[in-house]
Amino acid sequence: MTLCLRVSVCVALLVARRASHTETRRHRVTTDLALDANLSVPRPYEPTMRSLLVLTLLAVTACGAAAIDNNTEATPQGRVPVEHPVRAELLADVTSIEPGKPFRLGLRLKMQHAWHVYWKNPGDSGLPVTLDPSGPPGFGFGAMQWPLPVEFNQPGDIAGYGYTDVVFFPFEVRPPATLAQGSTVRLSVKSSWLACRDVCIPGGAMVELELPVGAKAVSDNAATFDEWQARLPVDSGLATVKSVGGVGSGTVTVSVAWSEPVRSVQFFPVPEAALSVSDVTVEHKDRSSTIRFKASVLSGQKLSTGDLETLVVAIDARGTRRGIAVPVRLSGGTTAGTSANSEGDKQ
Amino acid sequence: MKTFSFVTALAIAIGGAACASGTGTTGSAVAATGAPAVEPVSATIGAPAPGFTLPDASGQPVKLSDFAGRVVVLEWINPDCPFVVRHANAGTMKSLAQKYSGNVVWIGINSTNYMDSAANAKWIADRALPYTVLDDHTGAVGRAYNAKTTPHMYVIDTTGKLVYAGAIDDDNGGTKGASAVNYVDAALAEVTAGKPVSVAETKPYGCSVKYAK
Repeated sequence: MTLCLRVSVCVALLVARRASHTETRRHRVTTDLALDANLSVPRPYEPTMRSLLVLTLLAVTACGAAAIDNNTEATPQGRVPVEHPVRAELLADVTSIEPGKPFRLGLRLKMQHAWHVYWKNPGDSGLPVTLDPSGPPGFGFGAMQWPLPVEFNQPGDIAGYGYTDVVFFPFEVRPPATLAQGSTVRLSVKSSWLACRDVCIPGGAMVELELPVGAKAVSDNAATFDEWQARLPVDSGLATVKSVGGVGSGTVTVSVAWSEPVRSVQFFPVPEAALSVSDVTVEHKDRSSTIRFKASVLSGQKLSTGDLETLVVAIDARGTRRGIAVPVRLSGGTTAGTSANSEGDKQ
Repeated sequence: MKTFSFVTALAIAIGGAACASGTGTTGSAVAATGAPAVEPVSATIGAPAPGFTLPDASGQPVKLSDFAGRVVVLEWINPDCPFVVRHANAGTMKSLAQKYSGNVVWIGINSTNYMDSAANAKWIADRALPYTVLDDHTGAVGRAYNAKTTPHMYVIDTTGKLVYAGAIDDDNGGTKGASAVNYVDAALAEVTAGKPVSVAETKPYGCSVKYAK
């Protein structure tokens, strides 16, 4: 059996319209260029492109002798999509930029069925999604906000945390106070991810948006931003938290008292490279959860911080997931709070 | 542009992997040596490394105890994993195996559930590896070592103790180039000089080991 290599360079062109228009402000054209095997073919993003808003996805797939359907191909490791299994898209929550007034952008990754990408702690394997925004001088960008992840089931007790189907990462954009009315601003986001199913395929995109500068920003894509806002960790009211123990004593116990009834609880630690979090158990009854885990410093390494970042997700009777960020002191002292802190949705 | 270059490179890499594994790997596993024998212990730094017997790429059984008295490196691989392919393209493992060939035994182990000795032989041939790759498609040895990722690296000293477990280096994104710190190189330099390994444990990175369900 001979396999050939095909490099798919999928270029979606996002064409901006001028500030005076209100409909079909962004029009997207997708062009697939299938090129036969030549490993020098994948082209890095060309930052000199001026007139178009360009979304570039590079995907490389093995192509078997025969494709059975339009979407996947048989390979020794199963059916692999012809196109890269993840599509990237950039959305703004305004139709125009008001000088000096912060707004939000969001990167949406849509995955083909059964594929996933990874949270900021990918777990035992994988790589986190990266997001690197840029814009004209004077523009500031807030941190990428991570929606609540789910845990993947992987054989061999290998923890995996991330997202399936679709995920949206919002972040704040702070435009300078001085911007010429009627001008347009181009904002770019460079992103990368590792998409896995039964195999893993790395992917990346450069997505850009052009927005006009207006006297008054008008809301846009509110449904999407609202939907994903609700999936970010919350910063107050949901629970009171206390943690006992640390790396010295080996075991850490985090006690969570929920302000409302909770059906079940999930725990997502974000250990730094020198720390191992293992043997996690979660007990839950009524409004009270107890999370226990072993925290140990890897042999020959040193911790760079005394706190372990964790996320505790509560699922209510309706299946709604809400999460709180719980910092855990690792020095062996007690951490307590009236509500959990969050990384902050800075609006 | 660092990240994007990495993505491009890995995109190329995974394509190459798919090509490399083109000949059927779905066939039945080599059964000549029977089920792999694993001592019922798990891998712990400072403790004796779990013993095992696994078939090599030609189907011949290889025992860890065959190398008693020598330093042994175990490298978990999966030819379909882009991280493994990236390091193969960069020659990371091969050059390190050659650097220490005088006093270190380097062994690849493939716990990918759908692969076999033929797949390992092809990987060795395609990459002109100076070391063998053992067939652990049942995952028994991988689970005994708690191997999580490909690559996942282990170093065993001359007394049979596990002295390093973790990543090959500190460059999970493949963006650091020459400035990456190679943990296995550092561990081997120490252990072959009769010194204790200073960084004995790191968090491995890569694809999850594709264990049998």
